[in-house]
Amino acid sequence: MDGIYPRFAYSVSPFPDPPTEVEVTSDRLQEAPRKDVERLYAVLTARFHVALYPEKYSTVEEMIAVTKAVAIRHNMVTEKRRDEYVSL
Amino acid sequence: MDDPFNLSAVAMLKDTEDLQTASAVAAHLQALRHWQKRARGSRVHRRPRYVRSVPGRRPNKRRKFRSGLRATLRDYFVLNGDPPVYNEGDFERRFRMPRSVFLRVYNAVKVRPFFAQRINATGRLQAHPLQKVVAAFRVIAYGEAPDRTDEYVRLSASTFAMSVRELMRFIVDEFGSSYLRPHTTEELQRVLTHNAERGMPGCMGSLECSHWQWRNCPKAFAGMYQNRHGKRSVVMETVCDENLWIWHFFVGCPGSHNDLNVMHVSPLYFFRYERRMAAPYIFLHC
Repeated sequence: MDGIYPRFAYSVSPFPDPPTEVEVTSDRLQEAPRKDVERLYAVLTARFHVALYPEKYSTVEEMIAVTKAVAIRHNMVTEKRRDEYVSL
Repeated sequence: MDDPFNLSAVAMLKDTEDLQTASAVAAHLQALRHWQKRARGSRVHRRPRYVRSVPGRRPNKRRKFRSGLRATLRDYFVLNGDPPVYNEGDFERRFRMPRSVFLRVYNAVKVRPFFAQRINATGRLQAHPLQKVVAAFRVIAYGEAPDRTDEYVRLSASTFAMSVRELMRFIVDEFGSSYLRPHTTEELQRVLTHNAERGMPGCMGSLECSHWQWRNCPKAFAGMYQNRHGKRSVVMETVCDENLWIWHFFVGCPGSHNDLNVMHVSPLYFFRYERRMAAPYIFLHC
């Protein structure tokens, strides 16, 4: 858990030291959805090895283009692999 | 190539091998000759920008582009009616995507100015778009050096760099609006329902920032892009759901930003701040 995020209404972090049963349950339920994005980074680097290495581009624009393209291609593959998703 | 899934060599090479190509090359050369005649006839003598074949200039390597194209067709597509050497599983493992996705990108990009096959001044056909696309995708899939793929695809390192750059820009321009966009109402509802089943009602996804290291960071930016581990990097902020579909992707912040700074300049925060979202949805932080 990142302690840096403020406790805004739209951002939920686990309770660091849950006092009651309610908070304990809430933390337990959060565990799995919280890991989703961690899995995503693992899949991204495994799928596109270019994400493993330090980038070799000389401008930020190029880095942004490459990173975005990697994300877009990840979504294209996800759409193909998981039937639930149909792009517009 | 009318049918995008027609993988026969004839269809793939229709634009390189038939009479149409021969006439295109002839017309191109004719135009060049005409232009030269006009230039010679006119009294304007311009100094040529590029020096032609003179002693001291490094000659082009005889790469034989066609052999690279033939190798690609033989291994992954169809050459002379033979089935490809490698099957669908191999294709997907090596290019890190199914064949249909590859063909979709390829068919969209092959008519673009950089990728379309060109005829050079001597009337030779230059590299085929398939080679450039395969080359760029291998660099992305393996993170490998251009010299390595040169042996297989037969393109020079500079062509590689250009095709990677052009292809990435093309993908962002062409597919960005449909594959990297905010939720529609139905999609949001689906994600919310799914997360409610997992015990987190109202949860839109999970959010995290990650750093991507930048090796070629200029000295002038070294301080700005230095992250807390002392390495230069660029931050990317991502929101995804359980199926690992990326719903929000924000990249480009200097590495010296922490997660909170990134959130404050991210479109996600602004959308939220301007109340463009209908209801308070929840992001979970890792």
